[in-house]
Amino acid sequence: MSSIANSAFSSGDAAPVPRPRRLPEPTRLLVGDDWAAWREPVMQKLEDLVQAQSDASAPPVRLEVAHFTLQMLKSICPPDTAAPQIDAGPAGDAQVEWQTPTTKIRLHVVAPNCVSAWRQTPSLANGEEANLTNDFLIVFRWVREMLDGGMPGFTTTATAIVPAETLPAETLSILDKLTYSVDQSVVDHEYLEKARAAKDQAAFVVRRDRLTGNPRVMMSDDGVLTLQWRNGTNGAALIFSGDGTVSFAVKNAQQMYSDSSLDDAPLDASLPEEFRAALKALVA
Amino acid sequence: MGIQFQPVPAYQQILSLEVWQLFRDQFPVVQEHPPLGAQFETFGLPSTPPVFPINFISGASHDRFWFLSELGNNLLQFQPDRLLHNWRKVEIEGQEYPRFENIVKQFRTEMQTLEDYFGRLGAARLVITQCELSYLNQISLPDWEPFSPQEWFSFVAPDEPRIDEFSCTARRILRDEQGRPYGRLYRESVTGADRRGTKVLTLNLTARGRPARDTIDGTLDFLANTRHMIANEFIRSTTPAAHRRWRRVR
Repeated sequence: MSSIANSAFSSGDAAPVPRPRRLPEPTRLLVGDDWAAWREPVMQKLEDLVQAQSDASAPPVRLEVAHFTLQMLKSICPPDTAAPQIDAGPAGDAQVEWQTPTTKIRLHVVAPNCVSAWRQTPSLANGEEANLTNDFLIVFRWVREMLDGGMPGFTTTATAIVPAETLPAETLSILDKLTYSVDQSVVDHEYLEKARAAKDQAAFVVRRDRLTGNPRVMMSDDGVLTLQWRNGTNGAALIFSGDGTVSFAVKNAQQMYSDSSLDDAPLDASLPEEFRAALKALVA
Repeated sequence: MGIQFQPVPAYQQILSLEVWQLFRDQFPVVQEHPPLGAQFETFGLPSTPPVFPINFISGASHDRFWFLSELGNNLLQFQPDRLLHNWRKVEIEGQEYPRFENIVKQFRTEMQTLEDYFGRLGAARLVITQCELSYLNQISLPDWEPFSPQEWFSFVAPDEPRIDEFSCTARRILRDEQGRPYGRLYRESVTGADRRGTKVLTLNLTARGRPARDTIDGTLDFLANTRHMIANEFIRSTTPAAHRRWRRVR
């Protein structure tokens, strides 16, 4: 029975090679048979990022993010593709980028099944973007176009693309507010990095869910960012602490924000139904 | 059936005893095994699966614990990013297949129990990245003589000569109502030997992919949907004679 099939009783042979029980031992990446030019430098870089020390400029990339990034690249990169630049994000996430004289492609792997993709070409001066889960066909086509020097021949499917300029005007307005949320706030110096991470993570959620309305954007001096929608006694709030999580709270005649809050949900989790419903009513 | 989920930062292997305590009443036997590597179904560049999967091993690795029922026919597998419930036929008089509905009901309780436990460690909930449902059918072949796979599998040409060994794998992409891919259905049929050295023919049908919602309810939807796909694939790919031998139950 091969290792691709399942994780049932017979799967002892599907396990990775066990690590001998001794310390210390470096991170290792065990690889299959299919060779690709980009594979080795990517694996080395991901290993480095997973093992990054806590005093490094960014925290270590989470292991599941590294796994997913590698699997994603397998679905994107033909064997001769140049290895992309890979950097750690502010919350264990990973950022992948190719840049040629004519093309930029950026992928932000927030978590498994949660990727925002963006590219810019001479014919797309403002860029185009897509929020992706586990289907990377669109990025595969972008990479093929990049490898072909931008020659036509591959058409991109419209369904997965969200061109930046076609986001709802209110969404773009919220993103504009977020852009200046750090610079226009008084944030203690020691919390500046946290504030910037909170801003980026808020922008990710706003963009992903195409949030609308006219929320207040509030940045506290310790780098916590809140988006608050209000209408009379009703309200809804998203709170970002810059640690890769988001908290939700809803207020109405029956309950206060503190009564309904859901704290520290993963950034890539979908918005709770109660919050969606409240927000829909507020921006209607 | 099983799930892969985002690890909870506050969980460490030293707490695995607490996890076992959650399930110990029904699974009193423990075994330790090497962990399963992370698996994600992704789509884009067509590719063949590697013979060996790609895996990171970073620092100390967490064991995969097998929590076994007293009779050994029910198994709960746990590691920091996986929970799998397996049922297998063992030689117990009067043992009957427990039916999908009963197993999934139990698995729901087990997922909820684990989510509640992780909640006490500070996690909001289980964030499920991948689901899996497998049916493993195995039958002993009479001897080590050549055999005719077309007696069992409808996708083999009727005039295929008798062969000694057989291995065939097919993968089909699963798509949602909008045509977007979310998983794959694997069909793997192969001859081999069981623990006693008897020649066996195995048909393994596995559906694996991303649930539409990354929650327990989303997982239950995934399992319910793919259960029917697997049943249909079994009926399509096997012969009436095989149905009788594998005792297909409507």
